[in-house]
Amino acid sequence: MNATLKKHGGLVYLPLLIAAIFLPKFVNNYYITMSCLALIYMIVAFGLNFITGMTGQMNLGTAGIFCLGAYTSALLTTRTGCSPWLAMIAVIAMGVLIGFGLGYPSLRLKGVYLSLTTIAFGEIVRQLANNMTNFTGGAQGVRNIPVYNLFGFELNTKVRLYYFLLACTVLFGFISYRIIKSKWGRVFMAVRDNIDAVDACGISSAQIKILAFTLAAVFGCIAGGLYAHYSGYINPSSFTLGLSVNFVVMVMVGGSGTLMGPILGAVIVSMLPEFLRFLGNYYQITFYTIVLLCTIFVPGGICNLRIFHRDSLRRPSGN
Amino acid sequence: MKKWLSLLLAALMILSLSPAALAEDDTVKIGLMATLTGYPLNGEHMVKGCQMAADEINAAGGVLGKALVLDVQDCSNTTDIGINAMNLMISNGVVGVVGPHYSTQCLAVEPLIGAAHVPMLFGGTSPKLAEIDNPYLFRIRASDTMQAAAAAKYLVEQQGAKNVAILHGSDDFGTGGMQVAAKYFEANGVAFTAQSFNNDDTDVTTQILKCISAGCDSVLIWATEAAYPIVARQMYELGLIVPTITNPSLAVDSCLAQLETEWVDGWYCVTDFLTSNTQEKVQNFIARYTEKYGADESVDLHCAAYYSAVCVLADAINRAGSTDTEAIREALMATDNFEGMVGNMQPNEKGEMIHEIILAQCKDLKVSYIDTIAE
Repeated sequence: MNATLKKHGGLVYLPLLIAAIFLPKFVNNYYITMSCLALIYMIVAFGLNFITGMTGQMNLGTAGIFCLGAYTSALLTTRTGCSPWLAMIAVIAMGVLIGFGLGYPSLRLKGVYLSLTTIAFGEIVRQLANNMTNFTGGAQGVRNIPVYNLFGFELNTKVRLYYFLLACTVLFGFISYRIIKSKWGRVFMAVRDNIDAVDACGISSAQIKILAFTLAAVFGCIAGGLYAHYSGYINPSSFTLGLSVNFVVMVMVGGSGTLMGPILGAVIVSMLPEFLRFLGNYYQITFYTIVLLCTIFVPGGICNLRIFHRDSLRRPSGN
Repeated sequence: MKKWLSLLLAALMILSLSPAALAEDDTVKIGLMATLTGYPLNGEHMVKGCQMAADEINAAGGVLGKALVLDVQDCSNTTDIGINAMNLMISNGVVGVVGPHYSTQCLAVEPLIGAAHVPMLFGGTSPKLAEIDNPYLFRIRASDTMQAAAAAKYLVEQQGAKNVAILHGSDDFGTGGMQVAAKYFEANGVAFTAQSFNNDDTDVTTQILKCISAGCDSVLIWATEAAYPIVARQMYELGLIVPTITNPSLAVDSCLAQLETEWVDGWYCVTDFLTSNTQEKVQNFIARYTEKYGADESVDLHCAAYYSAVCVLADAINRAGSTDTEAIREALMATDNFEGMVGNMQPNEKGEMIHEIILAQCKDLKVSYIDTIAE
């Protein structure tokens, strides 16, 4: 068992998982709620890691993906009364649809033009959510989104929700880990590092990019669906470009091309500003100064530090 | 492995230091949820107004013989930070919450205060908030239902409007105001054209030209302060100079500072608070505020409304005779004509505490009091 864990680098994650399991015993609702959000963001960051971290395609429309996942689940459950679990199937289908929709333009665009396209996608989604008042509830959003129900056991407390989200994050973390370590993971990074070499090897870089976009979109949409049921209320003002940038910051600060990177990044971006609240009006500027310093001094992310090297497939390029 | 375990234990120890455990017994803590980062930055005025109220209350002996302390938390105008701020205040053991100012944040945090049984005195004016069955919600400003209906009524009855252009922000606030005004116009057989824009748009010429081509003889604007410089300038440039009435944003000094006289001369607005209001209580408040913070500090709706909120909450705690939040909620419901800066406060069954609104007119970039309209 120990050998297997060591072989897969799992020993790094075991203390984190144990700490996460016992966390609700030691903290109050405020920290549990923050942790729930961090877990949801981890799933988004796992997905974004494939496309931005590993494949090198800058996606600044993740808030739009997250928004579509959230609204799909919220509207289906509140308007049709269907179960959140059934809505999850629609959320995954939405993710696949977005993945193909965003993946194809990425074949013809790169660099700043791809970034602009994804920004536009995120803004279009937000504006549609804002202006299709009769369908989405407009700026006033969607209220009374039901909670998940596990065989009659309602996840209606923060602690229950936390454990459910923890289980989801472990599941998606495991999937993400397997993908990173698989042939797909290696090809993703090959596309980032030398796309011509990938094509020369007879691998379709176009298919790989679409695959990466689709994975990112499915992860993002599922996280969005979870967010809607965690929050109980969503409105378009949550899904701004700032949120997309925060998702990129998670991957960048944590470290791309690894599993630990998005985990650390999501924890830092969602929790650090809260821990800095004691600085009063200066807490946001302090947080972003720390992010800036991380970018300058740890360009490959915190996972680039020596203690996390065992987990990395290779040293990230820091793009 | 030992190093990892040490780090883990240290992290857990830090996390377990709940602020609630550090609460002091000789104080009564109330939460203030304000926009201190992000945009627009009205939270500073909220904090100053509330701090002044707390200082005055403490100078007069405090509440229940204890010092009133504000737990100020930034909600930064985003839902997630708002939810975190509310959870933090609840875990800090506040007995009541003042704010937030925006309706979307009120909608986001309302289930939390319902579950925690903590009364919240908020400033969001969306009509949707009145539909919520939550006994812990108390609105300390006139709702859009009242404000927009009063504005629409004024245009029709006093300005003889027959065809009104409604220019509104596409957010919760703007949409809510538009819906109320549209309902009034429909009920009274007045034609109208509703055009929406984003509050941070830099061009609204399309919407204004549509209003002009529809032959509108008056305009009702419902948007946040950020939209006014663009909307007012482009209405003036495109020649849409007709009787115009707005939401309270026009009466806010920071909004007026971004406008030119000719753009808005003669415009009307409905508002909760005006510095030119000649009532003695208002002028006394302005004098005390400028004495405390200096003559350069502008007095506006935000400081006045939330000053009143802290005062009425402190009054309710004293009347309740304890810091039990259920007793405080009941005392708030029993509030009888408490004298506030944005009107006398008396909650109805839905927790609406304000039942009057001020009508004002802008001349030479100064907003003057015309009348007080009761509900």
